[in-house]
Amino acid sequence: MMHKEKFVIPMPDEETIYSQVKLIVSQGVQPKVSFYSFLREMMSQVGWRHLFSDRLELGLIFFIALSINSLLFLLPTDLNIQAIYGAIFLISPLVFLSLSIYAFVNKTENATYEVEMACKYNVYQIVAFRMLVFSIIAIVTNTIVVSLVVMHFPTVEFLRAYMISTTSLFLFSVLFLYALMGRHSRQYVIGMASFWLVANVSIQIVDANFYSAFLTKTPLIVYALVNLGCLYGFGKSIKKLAQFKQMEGVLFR
Amino acid sequence: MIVVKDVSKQYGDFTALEDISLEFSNGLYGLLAPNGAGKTTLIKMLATLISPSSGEIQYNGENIIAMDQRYRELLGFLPQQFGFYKNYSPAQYLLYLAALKGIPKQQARLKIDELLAKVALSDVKHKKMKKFSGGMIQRVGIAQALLNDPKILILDEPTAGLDPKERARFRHLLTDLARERLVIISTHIVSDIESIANEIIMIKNKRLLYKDSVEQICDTLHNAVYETTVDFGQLDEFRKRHVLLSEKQEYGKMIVRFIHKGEKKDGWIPVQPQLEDVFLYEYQDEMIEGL
Repeated sequence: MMHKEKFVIPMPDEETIYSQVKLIVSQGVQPKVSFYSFLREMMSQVGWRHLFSDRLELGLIFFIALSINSLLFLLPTDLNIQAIYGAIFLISPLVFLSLSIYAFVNKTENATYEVEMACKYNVYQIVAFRMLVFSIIAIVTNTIVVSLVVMHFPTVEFLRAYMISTTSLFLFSVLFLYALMGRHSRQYVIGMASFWLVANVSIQIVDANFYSAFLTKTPLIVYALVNLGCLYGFGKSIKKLAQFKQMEGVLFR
Repeated sequence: MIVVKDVSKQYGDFTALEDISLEFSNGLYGLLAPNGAGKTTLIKMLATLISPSSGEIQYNGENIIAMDQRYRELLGFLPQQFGFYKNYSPAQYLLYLAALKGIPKQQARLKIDELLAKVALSDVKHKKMKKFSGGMIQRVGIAQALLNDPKILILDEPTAGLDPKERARFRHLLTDLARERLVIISTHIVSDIESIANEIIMIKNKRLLYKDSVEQICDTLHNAVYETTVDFGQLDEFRKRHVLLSEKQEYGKMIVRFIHKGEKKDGWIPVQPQLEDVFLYEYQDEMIEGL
């Protein structure tokens, strides 16, 4: 006859039962909050005034956006159309880049970093929100600038110029956020931004035909697809930044 | 309840803390160690500013890093270097931090008035903080840590810059606060916590040395602390042979307080060990290195 062996499992004490039940309930019943709801809640609780608390920063945002985009109007009016598209591709992410780097460094290098990191909405969540807003500011300013460029240079097609501008913006933003979070290094981010500028200018100088053909001949549908892919990647990266957890001190040191 | 489970922290090749296990429930805990012993690293991990390299910290059974915002909602934190915006007034800065803590504006305004009164800054609540003394800034720091009525209050060197009167007032405030929450204070000043902490935690060589009441910790030097009178000429020799805790001049001789763990000699008067004695005894090597 088979002998059934009984396992002896000790009964946990009251405190263990209580804490385990609490743990299971808190983890199991925890509602999943979408990123959009999180941002909306943060906006309503913190408010615009505190999300962009620094007046100097607001002034700087306006100044940077204006001066970077004015660069396009320094181009000679008789410039060929390919060169204008090239300039749009090169300059479009600069507003986003300068605003984001300023916001990031300003928050993470500030003496207030530790106090703000221990708040419900921490530095990375605020910075992620700001970057999202900066990307919208960049889209709006780029749209205005592209419209003005079309008026200034009648041979430029609005739709192509607009597609080039947004593709450049989101492609760069994804690379920037990847460098920021993937490498955790200041040098890597500076290197990436410099590479973008140097590579674009170099290709224009070395093989202007290839560069301009690439920008002017690429079908708009390809731009649209790249744009969508980058937009998706940008959203994911911003979400990742908002959920960033500290391992080895501060990001971007 | 907070449980620190086998927590270690590495920065590259450097080990800041090794295998620390602790439990905290409501009450006041004093984290006592000399500068550089790893207090701030532990405090930063408890405040989720950095993550442990191994082990974990739990609040009511949940990992605090995984709890994320839910943990920070319960937290009040004063870092060692309390940063502020120079052009802000205390009222503006506290309102800003209250917003980051998710406190509704109306509720925040009432709480700010209450806290600024508690830290005696009501009169200057609209003055720019760049004109404030170190003690005043520290008091703003203490007020901000209490904004969200935290269940867990973590203060890193909170009495830095406070004068004796402010320190006394701060100790009273902490005693009141610790009645219904968990308060952890990191300090290297024994008198800050000796009379108010339920338990003292001491870290040595990156590991936990003690976690006990003041009385229990002092008992480790039971029958080992003495006072005696020494001639000036013998003082250097006496210093070499014993761990001297204090010395004072009286009627042309030196009265010394020291530790001796062997047989008692004639003329030595045993005295009640104090927490400061244990601190000086345990960290004598670090103190010499630090000189």
